[in-house]
Amino acid sequence: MIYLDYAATTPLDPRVRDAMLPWLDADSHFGNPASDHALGRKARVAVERARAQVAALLGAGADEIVWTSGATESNNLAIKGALEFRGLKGAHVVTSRVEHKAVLDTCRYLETQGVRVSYLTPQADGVVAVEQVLAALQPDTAMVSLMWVNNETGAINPVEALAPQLRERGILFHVDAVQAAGKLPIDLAQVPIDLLSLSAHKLYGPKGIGALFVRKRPRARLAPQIHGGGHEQGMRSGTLATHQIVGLGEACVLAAAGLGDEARRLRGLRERLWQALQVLPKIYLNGPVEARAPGILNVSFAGAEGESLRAMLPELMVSSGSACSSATREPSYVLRALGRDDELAGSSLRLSLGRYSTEAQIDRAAAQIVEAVRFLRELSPLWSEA
Amino acid sequence: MNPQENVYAYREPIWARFRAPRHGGRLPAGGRLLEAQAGSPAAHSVLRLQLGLNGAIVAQVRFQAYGCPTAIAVGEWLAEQLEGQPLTHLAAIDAAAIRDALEIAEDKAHCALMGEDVLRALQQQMSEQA
Amino acid sequence: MPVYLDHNATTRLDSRVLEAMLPYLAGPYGNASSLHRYGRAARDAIERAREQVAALVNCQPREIVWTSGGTEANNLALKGVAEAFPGARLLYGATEHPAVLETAEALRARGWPVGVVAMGEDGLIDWPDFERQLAEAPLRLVSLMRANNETGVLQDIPRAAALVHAAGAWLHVDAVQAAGKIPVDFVALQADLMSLSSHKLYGPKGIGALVLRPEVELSPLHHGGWQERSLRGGTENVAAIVGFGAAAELAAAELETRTAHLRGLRERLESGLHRLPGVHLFGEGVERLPNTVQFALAGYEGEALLMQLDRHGFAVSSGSACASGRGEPSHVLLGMGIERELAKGAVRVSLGKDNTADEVDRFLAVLSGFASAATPRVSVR
Repeated sequence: MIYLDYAATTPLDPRVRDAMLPWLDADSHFGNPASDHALGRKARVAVERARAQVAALLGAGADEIVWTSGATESNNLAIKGALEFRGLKGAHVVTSRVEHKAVLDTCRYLETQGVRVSYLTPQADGVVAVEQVLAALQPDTAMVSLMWVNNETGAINPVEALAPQLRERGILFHVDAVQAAGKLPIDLAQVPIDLLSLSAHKLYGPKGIGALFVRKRPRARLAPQIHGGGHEQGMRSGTLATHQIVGLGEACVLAAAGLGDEARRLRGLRERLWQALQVLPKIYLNGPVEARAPGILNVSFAGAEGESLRAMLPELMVSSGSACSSATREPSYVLRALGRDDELAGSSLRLSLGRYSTEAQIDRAAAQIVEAVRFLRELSPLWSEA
Repeated sequence: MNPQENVYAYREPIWARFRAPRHGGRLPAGGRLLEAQAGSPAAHSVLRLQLGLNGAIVAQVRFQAYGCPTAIAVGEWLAEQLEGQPLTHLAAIDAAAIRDALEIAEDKAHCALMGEDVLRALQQQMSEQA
Repeated sequence: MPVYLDHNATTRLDSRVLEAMLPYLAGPYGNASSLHRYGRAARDAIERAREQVAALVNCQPREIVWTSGGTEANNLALKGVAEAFPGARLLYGATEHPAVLETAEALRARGWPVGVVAMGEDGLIDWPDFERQLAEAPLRLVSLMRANNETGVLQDIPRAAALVHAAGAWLHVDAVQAAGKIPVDFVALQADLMSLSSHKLYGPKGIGALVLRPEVELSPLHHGGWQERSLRGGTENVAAIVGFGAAAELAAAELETRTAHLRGLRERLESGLHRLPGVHLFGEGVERLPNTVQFALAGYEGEALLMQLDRHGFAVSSGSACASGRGEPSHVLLGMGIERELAKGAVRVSLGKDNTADEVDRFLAVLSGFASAATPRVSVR
């Protein structure tokens, strides 16, 4: 099998698993981190060590990291928490049409509660420009929520340039950094983002754990979304899953150590794949050429429908559209928002590369894709080379 | 891994026809032909059927399809059913028959309907030519 | 390794559960959302776990919604129903877990009418008060726990359910402490919603479930994603779900043995405590969990006694782990009308399936030393 779906989820790094296992197995490692005895303290020390590790990847302070069950919860807590704290009525929010479902569905829910939301359509390359956001601001805009990297196209939004502009205007800035954390350099000591979401299972950590960065100075205030016991500075209650948290911490350490080299390597592999596909006419890159996350290549193959294409590639694990919508097999709402017509949006594959991708895998994958596209095009009444 | 492996668990009647269609393509020009198309690119499904006639008998069938594996399998199955049959056989096949034969699930019922649409369009042409 | 007597806070993962989880911490990636063979394998594993948990609590597998734990399950139950019925009245018991209590109070602050069901000194529902509150005004949801996390006191849930249903409302049962320790039967309890947690029954931390009958209307807590019938979006924590399933299956298979073992240890502990001077047992004389004993020792604040025991290698709790470290007496004991001074002395021992009679005896021996040292200073009525 050739795994090319790293943007959906990543395999657990064996080093991360090894860091987690004692917390699932060893005699003295199973305490509740909230307990006031030796076992509890031991777990608490591990949790706080992991907090510092996550903070270090982001250039944040350890006390600015809140544990959650994953990015969906992080995004919910950031957006609903901040707006509830402020008061929902009359607030205006700016986001984009190509955000993750967790952000879009949260915004749609908030609209039922009296919040006004502006959904920006990105440029044709998938990037949301600084000027677009600034033009959408209104006098009562309370928050901007924008993803750092789009999960389908890999488009990198200019959040670093946008952040100081929003800070100047006193507008809270939430960034969904699920596809950026551990892949692009992030330094929150320099970039005045207020709230930032990340997920462990996108960076070779375990599923079921994520974090929300909540800035201390100036302090971003949140109303809790899960009550009971006052864990996590009152922002998120519930027994902490020590092994998961330790796993996220270790994953951040590993990601930070290899950040620049790995990005260069992935960019090289991705270009190799794109070049190999060039033997096919009428293929289209979805997303920007330059401002793109190193591991993501999204391509539309005219004349070859996405589901059939994927079915013809049993050795590849790839995504046609985001994994979160594949159960309903709807054509990618992200590609539609970029102005792709229905046919090309439905003829796309997202190929996402990662830590265990090799040149040999890429070459083999490219050959199989080329063969499958040719087969389907030959069958298609819509296909013509002209 | 077997490059033909059905890792997405399509029903066998669909998978066999999708992976090895015997009637894909177009018939050469000349001779008596009937041709019709159904579906739309916007719906991610288009099916075109060509019948080569010998009197009132369907001598040869070719199909072209753009769409999911089920859509492609519908094209192949219709070709299998019609080849060698009298033209009157077109009326005997409907969406329900297609669904039964290919074990098409509810969420792909539109593919069977597209198959029926092509047959009805072919019948329409027959009556116009007659 | 200390003697662990804090199983109501968390339990040690059963090695057989870890075995079941390991393939999902190493295997081929298993995003359960993927339609690929590997994704389907992950989905099958999740559905098998759903059947295992359903079998433990006698509900339908489709009635289970996975959550990140008992706290989220309680939040989803209360906030979910409240959001679906804006302004509807809610009731909860005075001795509920903070995850219910604080959620209900947050709803009150946002405008929902919320009432509190009073508890007697024995920790049981004050039935006349309960019936009065049920009759007071239209009601949507009542939240009561099957077993209290601090005292172990068990509520008569079917009796409460009949009254709640007669009032036209739904009953949410927090069964986090009960599941795995006593039989929990969703049908027999006549609950409409029920919260469960994996790490209280030798499963992994970070996973729980809300059981809910099909007719219960609920808004999601986390928006985004179609997972769990759109009630709980987010990529599934496959390994933890599999672990919860395995733990539930073991709990069901071993329930009778575990209960008998725990009851034996508890009796040994209680008769030992009765022999010590200055010991007050809470919730005595009513039906309680077979593993839980909450008591105060004259002359000691709970926190201080906990620290002494910790120094001697015994892990106990001064109450709910969630609320520890605040120096406040337990709201559970205050809710039962226990005096503040006495409540401040509370220590909770919660036994587990792997505790031994020898450990209980050693605990009693150490405690006996404290008791004789402290008795002259303060007396406990």
